[in-house]
Parts: sequence; structure tokens; C-alpha cells
Amino acid sequence: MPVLFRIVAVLLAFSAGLVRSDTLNTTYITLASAVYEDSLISARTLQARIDELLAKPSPTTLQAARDAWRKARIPYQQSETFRFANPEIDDWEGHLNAWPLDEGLIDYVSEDYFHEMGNLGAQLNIIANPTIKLAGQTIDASEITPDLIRSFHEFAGSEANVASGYHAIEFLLWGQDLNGTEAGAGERPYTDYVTGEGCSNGHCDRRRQYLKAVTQLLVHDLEAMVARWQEGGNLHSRYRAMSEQEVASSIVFSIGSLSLGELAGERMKVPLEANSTEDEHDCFSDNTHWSHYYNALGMQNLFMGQYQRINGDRVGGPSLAAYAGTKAPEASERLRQAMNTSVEKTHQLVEAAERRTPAMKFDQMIAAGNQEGRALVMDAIDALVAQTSALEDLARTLDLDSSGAQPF
Amino acid sequence: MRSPFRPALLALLLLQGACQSPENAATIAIAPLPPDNLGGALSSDAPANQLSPALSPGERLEHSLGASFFNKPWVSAPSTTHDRDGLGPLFNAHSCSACHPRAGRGMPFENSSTESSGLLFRLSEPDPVFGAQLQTRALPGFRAEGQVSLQYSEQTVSLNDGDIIRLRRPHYQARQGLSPRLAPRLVGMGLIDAIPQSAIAAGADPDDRDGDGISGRVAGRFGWKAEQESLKDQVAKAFVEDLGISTSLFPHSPGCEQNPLRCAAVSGGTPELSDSGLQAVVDYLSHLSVPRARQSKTHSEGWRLFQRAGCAACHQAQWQTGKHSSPLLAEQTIYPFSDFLLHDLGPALADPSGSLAKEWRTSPLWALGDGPYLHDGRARTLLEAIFWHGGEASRSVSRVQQFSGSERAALLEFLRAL
Repeated sequence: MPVLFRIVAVLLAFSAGLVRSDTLNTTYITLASAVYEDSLISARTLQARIDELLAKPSPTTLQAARDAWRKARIPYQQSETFRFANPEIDDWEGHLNAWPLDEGLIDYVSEDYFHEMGNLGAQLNIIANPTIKLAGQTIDASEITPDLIRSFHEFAGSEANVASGYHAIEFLLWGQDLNGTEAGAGERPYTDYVTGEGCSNGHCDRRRQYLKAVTQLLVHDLEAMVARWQEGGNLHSRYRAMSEQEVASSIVFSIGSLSLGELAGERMKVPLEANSTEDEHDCFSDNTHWSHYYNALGMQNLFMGQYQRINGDRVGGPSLAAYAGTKAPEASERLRQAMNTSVEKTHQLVEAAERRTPAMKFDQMIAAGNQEGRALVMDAIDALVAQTSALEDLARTLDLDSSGAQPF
Repeated sequence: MRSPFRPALLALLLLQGACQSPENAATIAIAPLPPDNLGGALSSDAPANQLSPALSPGERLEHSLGASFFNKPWVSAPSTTHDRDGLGPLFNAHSCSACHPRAGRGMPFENSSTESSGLLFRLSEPDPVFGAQLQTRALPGFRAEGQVSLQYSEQTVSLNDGDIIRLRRPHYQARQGLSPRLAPRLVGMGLIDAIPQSAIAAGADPDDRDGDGISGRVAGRFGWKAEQESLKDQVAKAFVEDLGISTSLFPHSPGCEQNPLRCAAVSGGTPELSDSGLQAVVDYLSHLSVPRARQSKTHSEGWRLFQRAGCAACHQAQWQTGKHSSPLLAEQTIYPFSDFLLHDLGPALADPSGSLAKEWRTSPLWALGDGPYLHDGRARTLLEAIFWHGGEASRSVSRVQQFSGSERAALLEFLRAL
């Protein structure tokens, strides 16, 4: 694994130059601040590309917006390792990354859908309907603003009424992926954003409004999270005040939850067992392999106390790996190796999905009867299970309060 | 204050004269204090919404599908997420966890059923149009069956030592014959499921032959009215009635027979939740941790008073589970504090109509947690919940009424610590 060797080598070089007065606490704050700042920076870039798409819709500007979306996922997926130990983040996360979403609530869905639903389908989506009737309520949606979209979030008590976040934007840039377990992602035409005669699929003005407003919301939400990690922000203050042992417990809890329940379970085991074509993350764009890989990398970052920013800078400090290394060298080393394996195995998903011929995306891997795909996904799952076992062993050895470090 | 509660209270006061003296009550044999692992091998320090830490990470992973189907929202069909579509067209909630947050109990809505909550309404008499349950939500293009608004009026009960408890009585504005049901906590569901039916039936005394004032009729063991015999039935019933998700046990969306248009809605598959998916949810719920009881001196004093008041006659502490394929569920000594029988709890709690209006299944008390309590969440505190009991529980309630302040505190500490 040349890539991994390079990461490890750089890491060792980096950790040699640490300032000793730093603690696990400062590392945690440094990493969280950096990864959320990067998420914000890349979301603002996405916003700029979307503005350009709306200013001049074309295959080129649409492609540029899609590329920016993919790049925006890189830091965000690495940030998820901070989510489960911090209720503020876990609650906030629903606005940004909630899934699954009832895409029909936002915009048109496949022709088959209309066909099956008769004219009922026409009453579904926000973009097509200035007035929305749902669950006995009537909502004035004549102007699609960030506030309107926010008011739809978990509307009528459903977490599936996801009107905002990365996946809503993803749907608006790609459209439904109608290829099932075959090759291909969503194929929304740029003309969905053309005003006047060239408009495809109707309601382009309202679709433009939606895309603009939902992107504003994403930027706004990320700004709020960045502020929490800055000096004076509540999460910054909390992690300043904790004991190192408490920070270590928080890291263990957080990584454990993402590792087993969320990534291995919800995002891989469930789609694999259900053979559900896209029962996982980035389902419209077929970007799932990257999302999984960056989740795994984010967990390793947190354990190793390091993060490479989107501009290439490296930040970090004293790590749980070092903290644990002195107290429980064997358990710590086993976890380090298990995390290397998780990063390696999720990277194999990336390699299969990005290879030239024939590429195999995550939705193809989970197809019934795809033995190669199943083996790839199972290897990644097994690595994450082993990582969780190693994590729990370490927590026991260090006598960390890991009662919360359960998968669900 | 004119209140239908008055007759019940009066009955309760009259009973005080008839009930046993404290000396007699003290002769009730006091059983040893239950251990802190109320759920046997499933007990742990983990909260009740987490899988038992007795399972290895690999074993816990096997419950991913069940966890996902329970926790994640269902969406309308067709969607990109084929295995979780099929919601509705009429429904009460989009996910199990919407009403059972963290596998816990739901909350009643503040003012009206248009708010998201864990409270739904059964029809006392199955209705040709509405079926057995009022679905308060619908997919776009369909109309919800109706909404219910809620107000409370207050009434008081005076205790022997001069303290006063305020009870709030709910008043629902809706069509006649609606019976509210709050989503209960899902504690030790697999263990309850693993109790042999014959053991439950052995405790029944429908005609009160032993003359203790407590009858107890056998029905199923799950649900406020013990309607369902098994956990699988209960889960499948909730999927079809509450989410509009069909299973092989209940293949039709609610109200489908009455209103064919509802069946014409796009289906998320036949059935929408497969047998293995249903079993996955059952297995997931069956392996959630049962929180440990918190033991203390007050706790053991409370246990003594709990028995002295006669609460344990229905809230039967100990059970033994039978054989089960899962070692964590098989042959465990457990302490759910219920006899899983139906009892007449008097008119104050009764449904507006129906043959079982006054009958309720004894609610388990393990991991009781924060309120609100009872079938519609009317009781904000445990003490309120106790004083809503009537009927077969009247004698016990009047004993609690005569407790001193410190005795009441010990009783409540015992309940809270479970």
C-alpha cells in the first residue's frame, strides 16, 4: 500500500515536531475546527459553482458544480467521526446529511412514477407546487426561500422529509439514479436550470430558487458549526474543560459508533443484506465509495491526532494513539493496525469504483449475485468490526468509560 | 368542579374503610429484594436503546438491518431506497423511532394530533370507514382520516398526611369512540416474548376465585390491551397500522378493504416488509440492553412498601423465560413487574366504549424512566399514575394514600430505581 506508507511516514515525521504543552484536548479542538472549516470552505466553493450554473446553465457549469459537490464531501465525511460523542453535532447533522430522503417531496421523479400515480404525482413536489397540501396542512410555497425549506425539514414529524443538506443538493445536481444495480448515476440535464423555452421538466425558475436557497442553508449551517469550535464556542469550551481521560472516552465512543453502527452497519451491511440498490449514502451521484473511505480516514485521523487539510496543510497534536501507547502499548498497536486495515479496505472500494474498465460502483457491488462486489464490501465491513473490537479492548485496558460505545 | 372523576374518588374513599389495617397488611410475606440485573443476561449499564454489550461487535452488526428498519424513516414508494419504501398511504408515523424515541415511550401532543407525537387513537368499535385506528397522516394526494385536539382539566386528590396531588384529565375533541394509546417503552421485549404462555395463564383468575379482589384475564401479552400474543405479531401490527407498511402477517394497508383507492397507491413491494426484515426488527428489539436497577437502602424499603400496598399482586416481579434460540433470552430469571394479564382499573382510566373499556394489561415497571405515564400519558409523575388506578387496584391505592410522606418517597424511589 504505497499510499498508506506515505501517510504513515508523513505522520511520523509530523509527530516528531509536536509542541509538548499540547494535550489530547487541544488536538481534538484543532482537528474538529480544521475539518469543519474545510467543510465550510468547500461548501462556499460549491455555492460559487452553483451560482455559475444558475448564471449560465451548460453541461460545463453543471459538471463543475457536481465536481465541487464531490470535493465538498471530502472534509465533511472526515468530520463525521466527531458526530456521535456530541449531541449538538448529531442533532445538527440531520439538516446537512440526513438520509434517506423522500426525493419526490423536492422535485419531479421518474416518468414511471407519474404513470403509476396518475395525476396524484403532480401534487407531490415543492418545486412544482406553489401551494403544498400535506397531512391536513396547507403551506404557501410560492417563494422558495431558506426559511421555507427549513420549515419542511422533518415536516409532519418525518425525518424522511429531508428538504435540505448535501443529499438534497445532490439530488438537484444529479437527479434520480434510475440504473438500479447497473452502471450509471443520476442524469439530470443542465436544461433543468434553463429559464424560458429551453427549460426541461418544467418549473425551472422554482428549481433554480430551490437550489440557490438550499445551498445557502448548507453554508449557513456549516458556519454555525465552525463557530462552535472557535474560541468562545461551546464545543471549544467543553473540550478545553474536559480531562484527557474524558477526551479519550469521547474519542472511543465516537469512533465506535461511526465504525460499527453507522458505517459498517447502516451504510454497508444494510444495503448489502437488503440488496437495496442504493440503500446507502451518496445514492444519486454514485460517490458512496469515497464517502465510506473518508469516514474511515476520519476515524484514523482522530485516533492518530492528525488531519490533512484540503489545502494540503497538516494539522494535529498529541494523539490517542500516543496517549494509549504508553499505557497500553499492545492494545493500542492492535487498534492502530486495525484502523490501517479499515482505511485500506475502504480504499479498495474506491479503487474498484474508480478503475478504468470495468468500474464497479457501490450500487453495483451490492447487487445480488455479484460475488466480487460482495467480497469487497464484506472485507470493509469485517475490517470495521475488527477495528471496533480492538477499540473496545483498548477502552477496557485503559478503563475508559465506554458504556456508550455501542453501535446504535 | 364537575368531573367524572368524582365517583371514582368517592369509591376509593369508601374502600378505605373496608381495606385491611396496616397490621394485617404487614403480614404479607415480603419477598427478597430483586437483584439489579432485572433483565438477566440482557442487563447492562448501557441505555435501553442500545444492543446488549454481551453481544460481540460482530453479533451486534447482525442486528444492523433490524436497527435500520426500526430507526430510519420509511418513505413513499417508489423511491431510490427500495427496501424502505411503501409508507402509507395513510399512517401515523414515518418510523418506529418517531413514536418510540431511543426505544423509549412517546409523548402526547400538546394541543392537536397535527403535531408529531407518540400518541395515536384506536377506534373502540372497528369502523367501516376508518378501520381500527385513526390515521392522522397521509401521503400527498390522500387525506388523513382526521385530527384530534386535546385539553386537560385539573382535579385533586388529598392524601392522608395533608399533601395534595393534582391530576390532569385529558379531554379529546374528535369523533366519538376514540381510545388514545401512547407508544410504550420497548424494554426487554424479547424476554417478555420468551415467557411460556402456560406460565402467564397459570396466574389468571378471571372470576376471582381466591377472593383477593383481583381477577386477571388472559389475553395476549403485548399492547395496552394485551391484544398481541407475540412480539412478532405486535411489530407487524404496528408496521401496518402505524406506518402503512404491509407484511405477510398483515398484507393490506389499513382501511384498504373499505376504501380501494388506498390500495391503489403505489406499493413498495408485496409485502413491503419481507419476513426476514420483520424478523430482523424483532431480533433487534429482543437484544436491546435492559438497564440495571439502582439499589439503595431507600430502594429496599420501597420494595417492602410496594408489596405491603399489594402492588405486586398484579405487578408480579419475577418470571422465568423458557427455551429460546438466543442464549441471552433463554431460561433467564427476569423482573418485569407485570403479570401480563388484563385487569379492571375502574372508570377513571376507561376507554369511552368497547367491551374491554375498563380492562388494561398490567404495565411492566422495569426501566420505568421519566414520564409521562399510563396509556395516554396523562400522568406526569409516578404518584399521579398510581392515583389514576381504580377498580381492582383501589385497595392498593388507598393504602398508598395512607402512607406517610417518607413511605411514599421510598415507594417512588423504588419505582424510579427499577
